[in-house]
Amino acid sequence: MSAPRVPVGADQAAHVGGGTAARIAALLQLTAARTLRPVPLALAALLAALPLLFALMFRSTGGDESALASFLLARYEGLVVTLLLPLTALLTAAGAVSAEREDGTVLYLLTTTTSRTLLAVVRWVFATVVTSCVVTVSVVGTGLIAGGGREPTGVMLAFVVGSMVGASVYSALFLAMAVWLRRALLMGLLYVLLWEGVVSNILPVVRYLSARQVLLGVTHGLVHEAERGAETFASAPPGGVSLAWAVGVTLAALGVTIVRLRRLPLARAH
Amino acid sequence: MSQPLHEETSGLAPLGRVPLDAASPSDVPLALNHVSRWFGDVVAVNDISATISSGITGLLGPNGAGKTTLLQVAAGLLPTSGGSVRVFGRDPFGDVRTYTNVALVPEAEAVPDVLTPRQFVSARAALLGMHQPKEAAQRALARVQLDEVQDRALGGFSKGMKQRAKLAAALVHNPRLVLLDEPFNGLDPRQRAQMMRLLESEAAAGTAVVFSSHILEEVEGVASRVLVMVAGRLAASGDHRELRRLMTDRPHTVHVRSSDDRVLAAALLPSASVIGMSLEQARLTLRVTDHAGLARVLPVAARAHGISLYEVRPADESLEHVFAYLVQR
Repeated sequence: MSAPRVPVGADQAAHVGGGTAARIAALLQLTAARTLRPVPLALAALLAALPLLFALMFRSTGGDESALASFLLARYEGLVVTLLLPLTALLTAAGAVSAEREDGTVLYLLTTTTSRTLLAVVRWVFATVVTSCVVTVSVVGTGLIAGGGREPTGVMLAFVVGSMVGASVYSALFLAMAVWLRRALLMGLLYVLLWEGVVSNILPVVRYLSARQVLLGVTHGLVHEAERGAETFASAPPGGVSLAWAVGVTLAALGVTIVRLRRLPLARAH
Repeated sequence: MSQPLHEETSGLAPLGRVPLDAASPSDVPLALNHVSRWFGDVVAVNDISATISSGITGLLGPNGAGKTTLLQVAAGLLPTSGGSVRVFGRDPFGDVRTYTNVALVPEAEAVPDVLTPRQFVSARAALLGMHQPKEAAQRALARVQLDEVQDRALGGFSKGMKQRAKLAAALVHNPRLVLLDEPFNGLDPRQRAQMMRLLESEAAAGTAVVFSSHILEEVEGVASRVLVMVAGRLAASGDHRELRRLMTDRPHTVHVRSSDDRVLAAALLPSASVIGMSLEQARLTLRVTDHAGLARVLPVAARAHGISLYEVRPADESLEHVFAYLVQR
């Protein structure tokens, strides 16, 4: 019944020196299996479709080109930046890790020779890419529908880039939450709704601690001069500073994720 | 079946003083030296020393004894709060190289439900850095006899099949030390026998197998050496036959209810099997040296005096009582 054994003695490096590409593919497969489930996908699709519906309404009511920029700014800020982007990032970055910690299957990842750095980076890249794709589809779709097949204001492209930066920051933050906190999905939701939705709007001083404001800051640096005075960007830090913050926060969040994965507490037995 | 073990196979070792194996440290699969692990003010593992070599070792103890914590410490998933752990001579905690030689099969039934066994085991093989993960997965699934259903989603599997998939995921890289947490939990007799054969097969190939259980029969059915844990401590360790003898030879307490307890007590007094008795609250409590002796004399005495027996109930047969007895020795 037993298979031929690897010689015992020195480390079994001879048969376990496999490639990083295979490890990454396996990690992506396991992550996708836990993340791309019907409920999260339906939720993301619903949120992504909302701005598209508004764009259809805008277009069907005449679609005044002079109002296009302000329409897009309002919809992108109100629906994409506030809901779609953070919630998709939350589901894709924290969903898998939280579920694995909850049911114990995280052990199948931790008891391998794959480095914790690779585990963290692959999960972050997965969440960033999936979130960016979902958000880009929604942003571009909304812009093109509202603009009747073209979007001359530059708001759409600015938000595509800003959202990608935001997806990266949010994914790193939520991944860190998932390895540090037991109720990461709930805590992430509270962060999005309370901290970013309420506190950072009331207290401009905390805008640097809000991923939303940082991504708006990056977007602000990319929009045309005419849109820079928009209310959407009232609390946003300057573009360059925002980008530096985005990079710094992402790296810091990844760092604490890797540190935590090296000593990830397990559910206590009985 | 399993390989002969080292120094303690002929009897029970003194508690907490298990001498280390004479082999060089790097050849010893698992050495625990005064290992303790606590969570806040709860002591889960308390000063345990033991050396595990090839063959099958059963980690026996009631729920909450600290078995899972000890296995997680041994697998390098938890740091010790005191003492040291060495897996093939290395501290396993925080060192991913540990898993080149070690596998842990957790008690939790959960597996990635949407994946097939082939995908699951193959992913594990890739994460373990194997050069040909698909081929390795194929071999591991054949070993646990899941190769015929390797393309069905794990979500539809029975508990026994999931256990085998977990085992295949653990064995895919031929580890030299396999730690299994309650591998027989929830298995039916046929699946249990299958699992035992698998563990024996691994041990026969030179692997050190350690598994936890709270059921003595499971442990003595397959383990050649037993470590008994109670309340975080190592209560006893040694050969399972010696452990069984200790458990069955100890004095037992038996409660009896009959139509005339007083007369029955008088009739049982001359029996050598009965070493003490008390009569209170309409219940006769007997202290006996062995159940078999009582089983012979009790019906004879009852029939001779025309007494009807309503209830004969051992009072201290729970595993906790047995363990408590071992601890008090």
